[in-house]
Amino acid sequence: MARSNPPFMSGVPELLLLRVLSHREMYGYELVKAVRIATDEAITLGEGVVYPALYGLEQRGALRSRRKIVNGRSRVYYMITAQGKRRLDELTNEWQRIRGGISAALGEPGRA
Amino acid sequence: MPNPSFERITRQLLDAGITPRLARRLRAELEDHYRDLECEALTYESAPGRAAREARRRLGADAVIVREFLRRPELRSWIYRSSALTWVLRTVTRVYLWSRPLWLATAPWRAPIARYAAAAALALVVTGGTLLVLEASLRASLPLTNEPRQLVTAVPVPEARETGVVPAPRVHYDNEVVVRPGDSWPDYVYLPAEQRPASPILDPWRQVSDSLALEPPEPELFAGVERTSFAVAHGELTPIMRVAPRFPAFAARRGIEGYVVIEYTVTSTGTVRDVVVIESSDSLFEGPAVNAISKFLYRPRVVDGKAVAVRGVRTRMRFVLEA
Repeated sequence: MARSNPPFMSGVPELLLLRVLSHREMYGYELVKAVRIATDEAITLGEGVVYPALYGLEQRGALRSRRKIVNGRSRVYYMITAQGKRRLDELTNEWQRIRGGISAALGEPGRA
Repeated sequence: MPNPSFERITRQLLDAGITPRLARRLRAELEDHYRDLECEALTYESAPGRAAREARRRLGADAVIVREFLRRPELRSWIYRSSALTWVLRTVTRVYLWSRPLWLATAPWRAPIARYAAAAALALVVTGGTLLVLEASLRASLPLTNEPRQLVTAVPVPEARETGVVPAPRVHYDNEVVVRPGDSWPDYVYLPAEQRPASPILDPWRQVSDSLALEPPEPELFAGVERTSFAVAHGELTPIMRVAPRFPAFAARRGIEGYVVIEYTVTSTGTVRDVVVIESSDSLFEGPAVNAISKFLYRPRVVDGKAVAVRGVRTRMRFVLEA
């Protein structure tokens, strides 16, 4: 069974949340489901643990939140800001660089 | 009914320094998330109790949620993020949070009143303490005794024939100037007819004589003196215009009186330069005295028919409060 929250996963929740929110605004429960679907069930964020990550991103200006009433229920919706989009680009480039390095170290087919 | 598990999480976060606004918001969002999970669990769990337990399990353990919050220092209040100098404020805040029931801290309409009242009381204590410290330090900077401060030692003055400057004897040509709060000068000294200058030549003398409507002096009193010169063959320094020093407001409020002895040079045109404080009872009065004396105008001294500068002129300014 895969270990939850391994060290090399630091920064990944932030990347996934920003990536999912770059399409549309969502609330917490919806966000966790969207990340699970987007990663083909490979990565599952803790349902309650997603909120510290969201608050941290909001403190840094990457996200903005507002309370909306949908179907008679009041929920807090999160949306990405321009600063969040820049942060998403930085994290994406960093992750692709790391992925390329790991792939090279593991020896992809056709590479020496 | 609020979930007791969420109340525990909120209290732990408040104790750890997470801002009350974030802690309150987290509790609301956990409640909403839990209800969504419970609804989802009911789609495959027949018993509501099991659905509730499944929803709570999926939400995550209390310790895990709190640990994730504490890993992010930016979520803590500034009091907890600052240095040890704010330890006192942190302790007071913790005592307040511990002493109040959680329902008061998290109830939506009571929390602002309670927090603002506590913040106002703390602000009053800190502000009052700061003002007391400032008052004490100001009092400490005032002189402890009435002994005057000796600031300048005597400096030998060269002979007049060598430099053209006449050293004045240590006599007060302008013995004492009394200053009271609210005095507004300039005070023009009206010279008797025999001492008035013939005609003004240089500014500001021209302004002074025009304002005084001076008349030409009798010729026999100014024998040997050029009629175009405003110097009088009298040999004495006589003030023509004096400016009142500003009585320091701090001294007036505290009932402080004092004096300043100033030494300066009267130039050949009657203006004042090289002002030095010789003695003072309190440094509060030195600045106003120097500023005022710098604006004094004198009738210059004449030696051998020529107006000369006079060094070592002293004036004592006394700052009094009584009428």
